[in-house]
Amino acid sequence: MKVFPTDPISIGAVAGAQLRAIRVLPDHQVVGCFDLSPHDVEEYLDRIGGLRNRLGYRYAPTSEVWVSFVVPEDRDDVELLVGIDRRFAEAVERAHRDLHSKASSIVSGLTVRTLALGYLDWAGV
Amino acid sequence: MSSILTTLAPKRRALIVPMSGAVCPGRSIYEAMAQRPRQWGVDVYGFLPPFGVVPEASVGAFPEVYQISQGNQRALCEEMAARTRAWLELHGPRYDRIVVVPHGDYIGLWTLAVQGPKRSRRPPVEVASNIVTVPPHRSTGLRGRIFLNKLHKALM
Repeated sequence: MKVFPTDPISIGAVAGAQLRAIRVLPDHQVVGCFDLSPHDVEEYLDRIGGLRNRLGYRYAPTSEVWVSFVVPEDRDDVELLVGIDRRFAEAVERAHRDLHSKASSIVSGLTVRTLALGYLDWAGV
Repeated sequence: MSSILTTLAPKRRALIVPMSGAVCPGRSIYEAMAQRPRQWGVDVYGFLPPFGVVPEASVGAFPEVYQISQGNQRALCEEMAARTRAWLELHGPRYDRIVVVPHGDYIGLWTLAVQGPKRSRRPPVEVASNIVTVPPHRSTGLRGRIFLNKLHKALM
């Protein structure tokens, strides 16, 4: 089972997200790095630009999964990072198997979308 | 190593309440259930889509994430059931009793997460025997002394 969804994910009216790479951090977090492509460039730059004072913050309404935006100075090539605790990811995979679920990834597109939109709301942008 | 530590650590109690707009921290109906258990040191959790079991403090700190329209219902249910089962596997052994109020639209997913699908050979989660359900009263629902007394007694 994949850890992160590989299909494009729509982050509301703001942007689309596409998985580019997966990293494993020393603190046992598995992190998916998603490239963002704007749906509406002006709105996107306004909202994403507003995140600059929130850099490095891990938005984690649950302790097991978090998201963070990486916004470079020029606001190009913005990255959405989605992290999950490795032990929890393994438990979710077992649970999907036990429940005969048809899910194709441990972290669903629904979760990525919900957390990314939640972050934008929380940041007030 | 972590399982040894979990075994040695003093056992705690957990209260899981399905949350909605009407039943959430700060609302009188919710506070009547959660206030005393909090004072007793019980860990109080919400049961919410799509994340399943969530500490009530997180619900208070990040209310926006629970108001986002969720979309695909099948995906949401699969996600919520799997996360709940994973939570029970990882965090359930910390508790010697987990008290659940079977209420709300998604409570069927709780049962699915605990028992597994019908006609499945998969066993229920390991902590299933530590789970106690306290159903709402048939006429007064989540309000009223009879239900609240039963709930608080289950946590004592």
